[in-house]
Amino acid sequence: MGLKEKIYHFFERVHHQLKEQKREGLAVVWEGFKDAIFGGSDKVARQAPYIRDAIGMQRYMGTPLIACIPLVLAAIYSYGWSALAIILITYLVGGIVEVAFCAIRRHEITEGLLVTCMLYALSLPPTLGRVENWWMIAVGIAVAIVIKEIFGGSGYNIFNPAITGRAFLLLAFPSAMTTAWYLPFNPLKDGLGGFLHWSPETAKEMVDAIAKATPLAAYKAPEILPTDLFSLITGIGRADSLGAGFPLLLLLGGIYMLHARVIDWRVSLVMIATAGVTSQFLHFISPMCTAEIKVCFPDGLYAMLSGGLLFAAFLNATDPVTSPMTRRGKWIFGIMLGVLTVLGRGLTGYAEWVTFAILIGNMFTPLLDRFTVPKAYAGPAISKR
Amino acid sequence: MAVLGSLKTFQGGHYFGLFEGTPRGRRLSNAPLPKRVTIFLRQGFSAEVAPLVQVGDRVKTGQVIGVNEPNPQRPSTPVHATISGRVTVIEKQPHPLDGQPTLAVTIESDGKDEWQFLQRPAPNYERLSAEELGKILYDAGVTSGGQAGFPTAFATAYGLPERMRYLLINAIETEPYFEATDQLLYEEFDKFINGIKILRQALGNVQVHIGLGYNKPRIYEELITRLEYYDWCTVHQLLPKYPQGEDAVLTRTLIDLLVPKGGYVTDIQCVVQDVQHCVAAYEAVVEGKPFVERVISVAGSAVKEPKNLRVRIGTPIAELLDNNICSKAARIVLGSVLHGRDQQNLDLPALKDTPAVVALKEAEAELMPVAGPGFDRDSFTGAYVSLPWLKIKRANTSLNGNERACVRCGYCLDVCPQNLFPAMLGEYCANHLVSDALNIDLMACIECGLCAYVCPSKIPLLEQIREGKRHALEEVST
Repeated sequence: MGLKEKIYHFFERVHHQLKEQKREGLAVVWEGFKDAIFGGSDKVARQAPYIRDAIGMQRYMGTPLIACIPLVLAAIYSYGWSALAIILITYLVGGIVEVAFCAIRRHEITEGLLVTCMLYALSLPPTLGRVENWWMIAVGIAVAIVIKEIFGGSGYNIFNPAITGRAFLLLAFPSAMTTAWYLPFNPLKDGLGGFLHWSPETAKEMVDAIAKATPLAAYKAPEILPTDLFSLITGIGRADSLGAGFPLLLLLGGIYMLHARVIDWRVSLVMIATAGVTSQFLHFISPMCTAEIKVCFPDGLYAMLSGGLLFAAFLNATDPVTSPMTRRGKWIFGIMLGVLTVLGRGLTGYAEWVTFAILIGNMFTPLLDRFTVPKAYAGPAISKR
Repeated sequence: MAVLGSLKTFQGGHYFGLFEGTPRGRRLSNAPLPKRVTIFLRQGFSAEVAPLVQVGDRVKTGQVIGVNEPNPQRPSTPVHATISGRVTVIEKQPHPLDGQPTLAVTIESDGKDEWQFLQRPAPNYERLSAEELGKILYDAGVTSGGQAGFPTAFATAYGLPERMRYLLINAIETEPYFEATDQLLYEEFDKFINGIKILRQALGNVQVHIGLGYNKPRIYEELITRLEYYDWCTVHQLLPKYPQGEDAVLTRTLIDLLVPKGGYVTDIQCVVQDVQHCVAAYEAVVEGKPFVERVISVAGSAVKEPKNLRVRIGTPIAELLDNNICSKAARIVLGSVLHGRDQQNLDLPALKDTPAVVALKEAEAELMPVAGPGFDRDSFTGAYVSLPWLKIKRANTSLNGNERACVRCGYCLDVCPQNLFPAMLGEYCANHLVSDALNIDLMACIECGLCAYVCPSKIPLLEQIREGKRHALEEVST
């Protein structure tokens, strides 16, 4: 018996014992571990079709994580190791809450948790990495997982959990979430940058580590110059959320996920395009931003590149559970999100509105699915002879 | 002049990789004569027929052993003995396709294989009328292929009063492991062409549309050359995407007609025939041979040497797989691995509409099977890396974990060839909301099984939908 079989039988034996001792909750968690290691390969199709697609939930949920790897590296480089701390705290707290729910409710631990935690962490401002702010991260992810679980867990939640957590933080801690931003390390002059530092604040060579605003907020505030196009695109010198400030890397991850068919272009690309077109249109017809008039819309390119639009369009809006399944539904969903984002950014007090646009879109998802059921390629039924 | 069709396809579907154990390009060989055959008196769609023989009777190959009065309401064909020998058992056995107890005749071979040919073979078939040809096809027991197994004769002037308008030839095989019919197309090309002419004549000179895979340019050119001067024939080149060969999909792709919900192609005056049945029609009419032998692929990951065989109908699966199977536990599937049935009892036979017998290795525990690039994995998604020079894929029989809640990824909608909403259908059917399911076109489902194949949550959508359809039909009948 090889090592593989030995490990397998060990897992089986412990699982069996837990079941015999009526510790159902622990048994479920243990089986989750076993499936994580063996990929559920011991479970065989007993009904037709007898062969199945190699895609399983593990690989399916692993794809967004792969797409996030460059973002994580870029975040650590730009904001120091405190960025990694944010991610680890999220995984720790999120994991504990999820496992607790699974043990109590006896359902399986789902891989969606890994994606939720990653997307939540990457959408936070890097200043939450300060030790005194860590508890906020924990509260946010705990709320997100609890809200997901009270609807029944992965697959039944109506709101995107990562966005729920972020929205909760936005409402609960508005100043921590919107006013303090780090300027990232600059790869053109800072060498190894964040890989040698805890955060931009602790680095001596960073003269001004704190930026007043993200590109979006800068556009709304008349006293601050809008970010220039170079830093918008490359992310150099652009103050933004952990993972949202790197459009090129987001595009790379997005293309990978589109190729893997894990996300659908009908949501992400339509959303980005709609936001760009809408913003460009409103930019023409509305006055420029002044101290008196708070209504302002950037041009299309600025709207598409700034804020969390690219990040959300590729990673959050395309969350399968909370976006429509039908092709027409996806179109409507994408357009709705794009328009809502631009309108919200321009007309409301919050600069970053992708979060709320997605929450509103999520609410419409069941309705969209119901009203866009595709028409079958079949003639009307005929009465039997 | 034959009209040159362009490259056609349909929405949805999936290109399967070439799974290991597929007998692609293997020449047809004759299977050894079986020692014993079990012949069910119900074949495919047909009604069960009454036995003509008794236990102890001696029969010859091709002798009729069961027949009903021709009746268009309950179509059937005569059933023939497929080897010569002695009838040993006549009893009800579970039918391999649906498990219903069905009368079956078991014949022990005498090893001589004495033939009894049809009474009126007609090498000059051009002179025969549609009725006469229909009678011969009926006597020979030629059925249409596919799931329906509809006796061809009943689509002809001999059977149905209403005229058929189209004859569609399914010369594209898109299901995994089904290679024997492709091989038949290469090896019996003349019989195939003449079979088409015979069938067309028997159907009353209808329009013929041939659907051919675009990966067979040689056959395409041959067909064009041979059929160039006939204005009744169109050859279409199709993308080899599963389920292109299913009747409803083929009809839509070739002639843009929609099969009614819950109906058959005959409802829109079409007949679909595959290569095997064209060849069978030729052999019946010209050579006087009843339909007692067909080609079957013996394939699958658990098969030592995949083969394409000419097999007598009724040969037990055990004899087909004889010594050709790995010792490891295997799952034997008769017909399609996507929507067929697995067989526990290997004494059950191959039927008239069995294109393949597939033996799949049972999955065993692997360490981190989803990690790594996965060059040899077949997936609808692009989540695994596929390299163009590594074509052989591994057939994945594992579920990659337990069944999960639907994550609403929408793959089932993307692959559905009928443009249905399988996830919602499955949910309704599992909760017995049959009328809701009927509202979103439950009966338009052709049960190709692709939705359940691609589902990352491994929800048994096909089984749920089949169950729902059964409930719906019961409600209609009560």
